[in-house]
Amino acid sequence: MFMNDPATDLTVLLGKMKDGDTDAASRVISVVYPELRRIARSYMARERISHTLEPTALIHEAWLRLVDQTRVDWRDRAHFFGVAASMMRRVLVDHARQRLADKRGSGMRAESLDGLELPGGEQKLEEILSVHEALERLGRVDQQQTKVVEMRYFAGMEVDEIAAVLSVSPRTVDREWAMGRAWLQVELARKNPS
Amino acid sequence: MTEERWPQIKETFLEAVSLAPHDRAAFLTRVCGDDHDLRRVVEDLLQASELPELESPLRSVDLSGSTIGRYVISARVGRGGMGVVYKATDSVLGRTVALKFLAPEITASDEFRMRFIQEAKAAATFDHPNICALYGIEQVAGQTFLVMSYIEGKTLKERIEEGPVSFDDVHRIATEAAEGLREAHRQGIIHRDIKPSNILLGVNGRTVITDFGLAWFAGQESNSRTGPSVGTPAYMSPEQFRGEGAGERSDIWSLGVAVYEMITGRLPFPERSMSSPEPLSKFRPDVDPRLCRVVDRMLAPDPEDRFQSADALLGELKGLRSSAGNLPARRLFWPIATAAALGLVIVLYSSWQETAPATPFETIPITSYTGMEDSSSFSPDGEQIAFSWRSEAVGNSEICVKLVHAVDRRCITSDPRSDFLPSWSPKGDWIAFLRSLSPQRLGVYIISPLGEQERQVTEVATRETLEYLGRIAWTPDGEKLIVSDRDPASGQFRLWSLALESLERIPLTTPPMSSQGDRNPSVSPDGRALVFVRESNLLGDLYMQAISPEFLPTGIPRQLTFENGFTVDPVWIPGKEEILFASAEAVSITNLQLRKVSASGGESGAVPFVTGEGAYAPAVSPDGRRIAFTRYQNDRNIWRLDRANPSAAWTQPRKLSELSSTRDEAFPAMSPDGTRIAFVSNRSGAFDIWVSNSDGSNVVQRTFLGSLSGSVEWSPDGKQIAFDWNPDGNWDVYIVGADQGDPRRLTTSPSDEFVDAWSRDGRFLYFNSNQTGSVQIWKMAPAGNPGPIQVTRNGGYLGAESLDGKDLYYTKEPRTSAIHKLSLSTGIEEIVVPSMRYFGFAVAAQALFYFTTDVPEQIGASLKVFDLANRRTTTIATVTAPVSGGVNVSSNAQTILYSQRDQLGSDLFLVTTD
Repeated sequence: MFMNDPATDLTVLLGKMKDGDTDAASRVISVVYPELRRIARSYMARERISHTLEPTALIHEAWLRLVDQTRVDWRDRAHFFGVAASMMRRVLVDHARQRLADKRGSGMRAESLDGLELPGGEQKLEEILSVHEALERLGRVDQQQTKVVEMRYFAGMEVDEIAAVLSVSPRTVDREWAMGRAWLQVELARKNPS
Repeated sequence: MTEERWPQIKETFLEAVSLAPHDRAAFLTRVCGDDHDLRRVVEDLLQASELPELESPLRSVDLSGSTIGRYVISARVGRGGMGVVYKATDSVLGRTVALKFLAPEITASDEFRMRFIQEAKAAATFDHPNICALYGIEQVAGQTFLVMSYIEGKTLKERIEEGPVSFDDVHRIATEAAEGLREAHRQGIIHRDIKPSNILLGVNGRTVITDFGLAWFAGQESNSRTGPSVGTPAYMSPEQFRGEGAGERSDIWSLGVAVYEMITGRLPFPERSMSSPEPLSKFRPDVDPRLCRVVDRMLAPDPEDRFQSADALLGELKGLRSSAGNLPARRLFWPIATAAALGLVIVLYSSWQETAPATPFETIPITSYTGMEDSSSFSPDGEQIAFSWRSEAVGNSEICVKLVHAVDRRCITSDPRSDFLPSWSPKGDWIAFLRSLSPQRLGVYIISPLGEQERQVTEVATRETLEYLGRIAWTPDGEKLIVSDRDPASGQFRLWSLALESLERIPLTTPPMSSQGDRNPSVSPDGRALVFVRESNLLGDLYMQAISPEFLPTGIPRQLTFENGFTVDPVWIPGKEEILFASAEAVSITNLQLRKVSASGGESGAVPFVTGEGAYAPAVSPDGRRIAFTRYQNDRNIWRLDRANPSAAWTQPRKLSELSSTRDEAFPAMSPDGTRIAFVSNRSGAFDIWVSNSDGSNVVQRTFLGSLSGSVEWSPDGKQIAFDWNPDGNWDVYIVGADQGDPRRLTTSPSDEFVDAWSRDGRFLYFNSNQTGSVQIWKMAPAGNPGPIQVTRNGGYLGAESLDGKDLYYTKEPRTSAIHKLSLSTGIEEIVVPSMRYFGFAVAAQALFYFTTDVPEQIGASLKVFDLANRRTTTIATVTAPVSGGVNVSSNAQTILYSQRDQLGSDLFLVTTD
C-alpha cells in the first residue's frame, strides 16, 4: 500500500540497490532524475534572490524530498549521492545541448531547464559538453577517477562526501581529482587551442 | 596514447605530483628514461595541474567583497550542509563577525525556517566562553542570516586531519567542550549535532562549540518524530539514530565520538552495526587506561550506561587531570636504562591498574588496515616505509609502500605467492624481500620502489618458522645483500654475503655445533660490524662479528646479550652505538617486547617509549629519528546480553568492560546463583582461572597453574569449579574450590579427558575422553567413586543435561555439528538442531542457545535460541568478531555470556624521537 508513495518507494529501492539489484538501480534513476530537474528549475526562480546555487544543495533537497528519513541509514545516503551525481551530469549535459542547439537555431526539442542561465554563459555550456565527452573516454580506462571528477565537477561534492560514496580515503579522492582535473585541462586545451 | 598507457601515466604523474616541483625533472628522467612520449604526457599534466581549478557549472555565488546592510563581507570561511559562513565586519560596531547564510533549500521550507529561528532563540540565550555567541538574526533584502561571534582558528575536524592530537590537547578540548555542553544543558538545550566540524579551536587556545543549528528545545521531543532525522549519522547516538529523539546523553555520546576521533584519527563506529569500537590502545598504546574507560562510557550504546550529565563527565575528566600530572619534559633520546624506564614498561603491562604511564615520546599507529601488516623498512629519507601486508581478503602477503604519515598504500608486488620481510637499500633504488617459493625454498628478490624490474637474486632454505629468518640486510654501499641460508655441508644456518652484480656468495659466520645457526643479520651504518642472532632450540642471543673493509669477517664473534630468550630482529640505530631488538622469555610473538643494548655489550634495557605487548621487527630511519615497529594484537574479551525476565527481549551484546584487560579474557561461566563469573585469562602472564562478581568487579585469581585449556564449569551448588589441565603431556579433569583450596585431579587415565558439565543433581561430572579410541562422553562422581562410566557409544563430544536431568544434549564433533539428544532412561538418540557451525551450546529451560554461521568460513556468528517446545529457532544477536568457546546462559536464563576476539592482526607503529 506504500508503493505509490515515492518517498517510501525510493527508500525500498535504495535498500535493494545496496544489495546489488540492478533493476532497482535503474528505477532509482527514473525517480531521481525528474526530481532533480524539477528542483533545478525551481531553483532558477529563486536564484536571483539567492546567494547559493550549488549542485550539492540540489541533491540535498532531492534527498530530503524523496526519501523517508526515518527508514534509511547513511549508506543509503551515500548511494543516493553517487546516483544523483550521475544524474546531475545528465541534467547539465542535456541542458547545455539544448541551450546550444537553441542558440544555433536547430530547433531541436530536447528538455532543458527552462529559464536557467548558468554562470559563465555559452563558454561554460561548451565546457560542460567537452568535460562530458572527455569523461566518456576516461571512463573506459579509469572508472574511479571518472566517478571522482563527476561528483566533483558536476555535483560539486566535497572530498569527504566523495570518499564516503566510493568507500576510499579522502586522500585518494584528492589524488584522483588532482589528476582528473589536470587531464581535463589538457583535453579541453587540445579541443580549443587558444 | 594517453588512454592506452593510462596506468603507467597515472602512476608516474601521481608520484611526480607528490614531489616538490624542483625534484620532478630528475624523477622523470630516472623513471621515463628514453620514453619521451610518457615524459611529455606527464609534463603536460603536471603543468595543467597548476591551472586554476575547474569550476563546477552550478557554482555558488561568492559574496566576498560585497556589503549587506551594515556588514562588509571579507571572505567565505566555511560551508556545511546547512549553509555558508562568511567573515565580515560590522561597520556600525566595528567588530569582526561571522555571518551564516542558510542554503536555499532550508529557507524555502517553512519547517526549516522555523528551525532556523529556533536556533537563534536557543543560541541567543548563551553567554559562555565555550559556546559561540550569537549576536542576532537579520533579514536584509530577503536574505535571512545569523550574526555570530567570529572565532579565528580552525575546526577540530581540520585539526584531526593534520595528525594525532596530543593527550594534553585531547583532555583540554574534551573538558572545554563538556563545559559548553553543561551550560547548554543547564538551560534545557540539546545540541543534537556535536561533531568535530562544529567544535572550533580558537587561536587563543579556547574551544568553542558552534552551530546550534539543529538544537531544538529539549522539551519538544514530539517534533523529532515527524521531521527528517536531524544530526550527522556518524556522530548520531544510537537512540537518535533510531528516531527516538535526543537528550543530554546523546550529546555526550556525540562528544565521545569526537574524542575517540581525536585520539585515533578514525571514527569509533565506521559501520553502524558495530556494537563497540576498537580499543583506543590499539591505535595509541600509551593511552591512559582511565581515559579509555571515560571514552567507553561516553560511547555506551545504552544511554543508561553513559555519564548521565555533562557535569558527571566533567567530574571524571577533571579527576583524570589532577592525578595524571604533566608529561615530563622531553629527555634526550635513548637515556641510559634506568629503573624508571623499566618501570614504564611494567606499568603498561599492568594497565588495568589505576596508574597512568608517563612517556617522553608518543607512539602513534601508522597502519591499521585489516589483516597483518608486518616488518617495516624505511626509505633513505625516512619519509616512506615498505612493509608486508596480508589482507584478510587476499590471503597472501604482498610488499607495499606508503608515506609514513599517509593512509594510502601502494602494493608493489602482486605475485600469488607470499612476499615478506622487505628491506630498503641504502640508496633507495631497490627493495629486497623474500618470496615463499615452496615449503622448503625462499626466493630472495629485489624490486624498485615503484614496483618495477623485479628480479630473483638467489634462493635460500626456509626455517621452521619463516618470521624468524629476519630481514635481508644491505651493505652500506648497496652492492651486497646479507642473507641467512642453510649450509648444505653442516646443515646449520650461516650468514652469507651475496654480491648483486657477480652473485658471488661468501660465508660470514660459522656457528658452533651446539647451535642451529645464525639469523636476523643487521649491518652497522659504517659497514664494519654485523650483528645477528645465534640460535639454539629457537632461543638465542645477539652476537657481533667485526667486518673488514672488504666485507669479510675478522676475528671471532662476540656475544652481546645474555637473555637466553626468544630473541629476534636486531637493528642498528644510526648515530648511536646501540642496537634495538625484540625478545621474550619463551617462543611467543605475543610476549615480545623491544629492548636495546649497547654495541659494546653490557646489560640490555627497555626502550624509552611505550610499545604495548607483542612488539617486534623494529626499523630505524637512516637519520635515527624515527622508529617503526610491528605490534601483534590478540585480545579476547567477555561480552554479555541480558533480559529483564524470561519473556522479555534480549539486549544487544555489550563488552563487560570492568573485566577487560589488554590480554585475553575468555570462556566465561556464570555461577548457579548468578552472583559470580568464572573465566580464563592470561592477564597475569599465563592462562589461569579467575573469578569476579557478576558485574565484572572484584576480579580474583583462583588458580596458579600457568596453562589451561578453557573449560570452566561450576558445580550446581556453586562451591566447586571443574576444569581441564595438561601439566604433564595429557589432559585431565581437575576440580578446585570456588573460593579456596588447591586443584584436585579427578581423571587419571593416560588418555585425554576434557570437562563437559555437571549433572543437574551434582552427583556426576560429565567429561569426554578418547580412551576407547574414539571420543565419547563419560561421567564419574566428583569425589571419585563411582569411577568413570561410559555414556555415549556412537561418538560424543560436548554433553549437558536437560534441566530435569532426564536427557543429555551433546555434539559429536568439535565443529560443523548437530546437537543430539540422548534419553538417559531409554537410550534413544535423536537430532535436535541439525547444524551448528560453532563450538559449544548451552541448555536452559525448554531452550538451547548456540552460535552458528550460514557460511563455513565466515568470521563472526549468529547467536540463536532453539525453542524445544515449538521447535522454532530465533536469532538473538549477530556478532561480527570471531567467537571463541561457545555460550553460557545463567540459571535464570536472563544473562548470556560469551567471549569474542576483538583484536587479531598486526599493525605498524611509529615513534618520533625529536
